[in-house]
Amino acid sequence: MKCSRIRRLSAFLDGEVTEEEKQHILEHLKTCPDCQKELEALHQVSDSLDSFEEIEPSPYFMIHLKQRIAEREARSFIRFPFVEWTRRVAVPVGTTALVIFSLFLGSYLGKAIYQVRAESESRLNMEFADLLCINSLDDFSEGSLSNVYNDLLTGEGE
Amino acid sequence: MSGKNRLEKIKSGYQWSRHKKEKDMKSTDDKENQNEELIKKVVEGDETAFEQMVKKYERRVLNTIYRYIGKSDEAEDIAQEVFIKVWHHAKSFKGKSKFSTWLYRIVVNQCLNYRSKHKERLASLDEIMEQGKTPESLKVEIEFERQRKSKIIRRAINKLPKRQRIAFILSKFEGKSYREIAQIMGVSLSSVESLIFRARGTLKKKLLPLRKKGEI
Repeated sequence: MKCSRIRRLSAFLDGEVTEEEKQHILEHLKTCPDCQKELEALHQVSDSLDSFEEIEPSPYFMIHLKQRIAEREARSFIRFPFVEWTRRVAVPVGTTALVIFSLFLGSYLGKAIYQVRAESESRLNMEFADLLCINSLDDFSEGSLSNVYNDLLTGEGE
Repeated sequence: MSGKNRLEKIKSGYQWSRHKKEKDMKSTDDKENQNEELIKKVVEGDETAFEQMVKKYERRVLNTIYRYIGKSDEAEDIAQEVFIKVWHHAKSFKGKSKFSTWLYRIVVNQCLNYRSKHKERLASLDEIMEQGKTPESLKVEIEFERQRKSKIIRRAINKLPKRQRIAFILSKFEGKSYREIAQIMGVSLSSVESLIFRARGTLKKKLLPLRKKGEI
């Protein structure tokens, strides 16, 4: 069974342990053959990886980079008028138009609703008057009982 | 090598590794100040500053990508893409992290999103030999040997899962600390340690037997 400290050897090799832990590991390495072997193996792998070549950027790297940037900006410039027109003109104008339209619509609807309610109320009043036979009381003479009743119902004469 | 000698070698190796990282950290403060000035100018659209920045980082960026994907022609393509993003998104660098951290974040994202466009055609032994027998044959052999070893290592690294691969490359070849790698990759410190530990384990299994045979 492998030593449980083997896992820390990778970080140890990279110099990523605290000073305290480093001392513990160094002490531990004196007496643990598994860890010694493992660390040696990791060193050897690290040495082998030094054979991995580096490459140099081509001498045309900057020229090609600038060309690509210029091409991209040219493509977005062609799209620019439409996109920018949409963003700078159409959106604010559209929003303003929508707000004005909403105000007019609200006003119109308000009036319409008021009219409907007024008509409905008038109709109700007439039905109520018919129910109480108020209209039939209009022809009664001043001071008569029916006339007094009529005044009480309509609130006139107060 | 005796156990005691091996231990001494390991100790000195560790001290060198820590010293190098500490030395690198001190010099990075000056570099970061310079980088901040450069990036401010890039944000303002200063092309000269952008060119200076590219010159400063092109080799490192290119080699990180090359080591990740193993293909030199596509690596250059992707490296340019990184710098195009830097040019267009310089404004999004707020200075909360180091500039190199921000830059490598773009590199890592490009690498992790990479899909190969075509199969790389590696020079065959015949082609290398065709370059000349004598008096260039020694050069050809050395070149062949170098390419062969590099190919073996490249293949071994390419077999690593993406995140292990990029974490290992940033640590081993770019000399980034675990903390910096964690910031670049947007993961915890313990995740970085785990990724690198697993990557090393896999590479050890693949490369050590070859090393013992003398192939690398």
